[in-house]
Amino acid sequence: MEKAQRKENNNLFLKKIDYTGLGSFQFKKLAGEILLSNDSGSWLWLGKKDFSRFLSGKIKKGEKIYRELAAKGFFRPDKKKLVEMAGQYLKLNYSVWRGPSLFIVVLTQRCNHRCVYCQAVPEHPRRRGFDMSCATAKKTLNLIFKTPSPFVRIEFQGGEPLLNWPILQYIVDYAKFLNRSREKNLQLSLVSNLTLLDEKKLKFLLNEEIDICCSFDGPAKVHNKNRICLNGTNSHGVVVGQIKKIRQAVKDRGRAGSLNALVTVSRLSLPYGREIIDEYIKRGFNNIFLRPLSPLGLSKQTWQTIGYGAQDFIQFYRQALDYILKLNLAGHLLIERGVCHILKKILNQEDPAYMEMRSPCGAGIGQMAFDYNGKIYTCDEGRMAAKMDRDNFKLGDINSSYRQLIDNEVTKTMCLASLLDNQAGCSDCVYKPYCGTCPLINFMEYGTIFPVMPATMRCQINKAVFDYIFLKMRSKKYLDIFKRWIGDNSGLKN
Amino acid sequence: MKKTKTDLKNKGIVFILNLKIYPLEAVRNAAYAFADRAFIDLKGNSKKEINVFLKSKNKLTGKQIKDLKGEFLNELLNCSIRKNIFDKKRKILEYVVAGAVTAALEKPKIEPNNKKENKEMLEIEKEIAALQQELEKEADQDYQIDPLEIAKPYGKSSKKRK
Repeated sequence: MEKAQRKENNNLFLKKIDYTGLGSFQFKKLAGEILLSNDSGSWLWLGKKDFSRFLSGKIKKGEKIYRELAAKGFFRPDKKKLVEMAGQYLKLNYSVWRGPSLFIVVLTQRCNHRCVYCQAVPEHPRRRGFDMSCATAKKTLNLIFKTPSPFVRIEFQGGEPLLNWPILQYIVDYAKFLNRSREKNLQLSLVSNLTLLDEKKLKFLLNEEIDICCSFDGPAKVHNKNRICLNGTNSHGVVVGQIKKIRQAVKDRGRAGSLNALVTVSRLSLPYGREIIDEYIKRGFNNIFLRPLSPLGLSKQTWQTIGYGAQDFIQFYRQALDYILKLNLAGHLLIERGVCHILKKILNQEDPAYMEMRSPCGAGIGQMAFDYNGKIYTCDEGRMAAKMDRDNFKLGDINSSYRQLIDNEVTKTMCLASLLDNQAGCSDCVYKPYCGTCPLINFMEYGTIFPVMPATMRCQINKAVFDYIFLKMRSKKYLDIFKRWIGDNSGLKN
Repeated sequence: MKKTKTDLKNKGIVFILNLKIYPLEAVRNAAYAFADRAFIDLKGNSKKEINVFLKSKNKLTGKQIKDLKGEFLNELLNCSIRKNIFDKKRKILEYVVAGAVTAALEKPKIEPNNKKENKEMLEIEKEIAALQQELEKEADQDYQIDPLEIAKPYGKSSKKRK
């Protein structure tokens, strides 16, 4: 046994590697085989013997495996191939080169819920001085429309954004007014708990084609534990009723409307993976987004009660994905949106513009968060960190020029710290082309923007998810499901 | 690493690092990262070795002092690898950061110039301000004075909450 192991190690002995013919790549041993990837997003499985032959330059030109390795750029590329690979790299990271496109607008800090994991540190609905004013909203939009990006997505957040309804209406009107001359691909979306949505507001949202996204944590026993309404209202009952209403209104109009929901997984949710998924199906969703907690805002304070370790979430997520795939195999389309973002990169080598999973991350260069009081942060998490007396991620305020927001030390530092090529443990990781890191979460959790990455919770979760996806893709039946998920974009809309 | 000497009385530990394994710049960076926990003294004339003296700012047991050294060495490894990566990939990093920031800086060419529509927007703004005032009044009536005290910040809650 030992002899065989020694022989195997000898096969990979560094002195036998023929560096002259090899291209740049990362690799990992997984399930007895070797997974290779390179910066243009190509990937390949090799058996141990083939990997050894590849490293020592013993694969012959006529072999099928040679052609595949060459086509995917694993051999040292000639000039023509290098240009092709550079093009693939740009496609895979397209959103990095187009400027900010996601703008979080915090209409109010007030909220009628006190969710156990809230990252935003909300204020009571009766309090004064926590709403965005009209003048701030106007300056906010004037800055937003200075982005060079052809895409502008404005996301209304809070607190509960519906508590500042007049400003939401104003922003929609003014954004569309500005866009007459800017001609951007303008998308608007509302992130709400839906409890304050009435007929009039819904009509406006649908008329103006504003996407609606709500937090929905599954069955009542989970949702109502996580998401508590201040006046004692049954939050789950209200959300379920509103989902029905929205669907009916969309159906009556006979055109597509977008309603998505998010699950934030707290420790209280961990035992109920299957029930959460069943609840989504019961309420007519064909997609679900299972997100881990972030240690910001209230959730940092309540971490002892609602938090968990990486392994707890990984186990939950694997079981949930197994169940989702089982449902898909039985003919029921249900997409996990987190996996879908990753699959777009792996299978299509295209950029889903998901700010958390790109290198560098979106902080400043891809997104900005405009707080109700006119302060501007790198991202939504940046303004949440500010509520915890960490103002490190502030880019400026509405009186700053657009150039000042981009050309400053915070933006450049975040860019450099989220570049995986600059992170020990990431720069040679096989999942580097598809992954991303959040320097802000690293800073809030570990006190540094350069933590020992493999020891971080996010890295452990991300690696486990990638392992899961790549291993499942070896089976044709799962690969077909994954292809369907990314081919059928309508699956992300209800 | 050769000699290690623990000095419990002075809450410190002395050890020697091989500069062929750890670059001097990484040793300095690791020492700097430890400045909040310990007093650090780096000494040595040779280009091959450096003496590190770590003196904790708090009273520590012998095991805790050894752990402090272990943590220092982990930090040193992190700094060494980061330096290695940065040296190797400096050009790529600079290119990506410069490219991403420059791409985000470009300005749109067309500026809006429609006075009539601007006037319309000003009227809307006045209406919005009035609506906002009305809504604030409504919010007063909608919510009771939080009988369960769930809106109070954590740590400030009364016994009632438990």
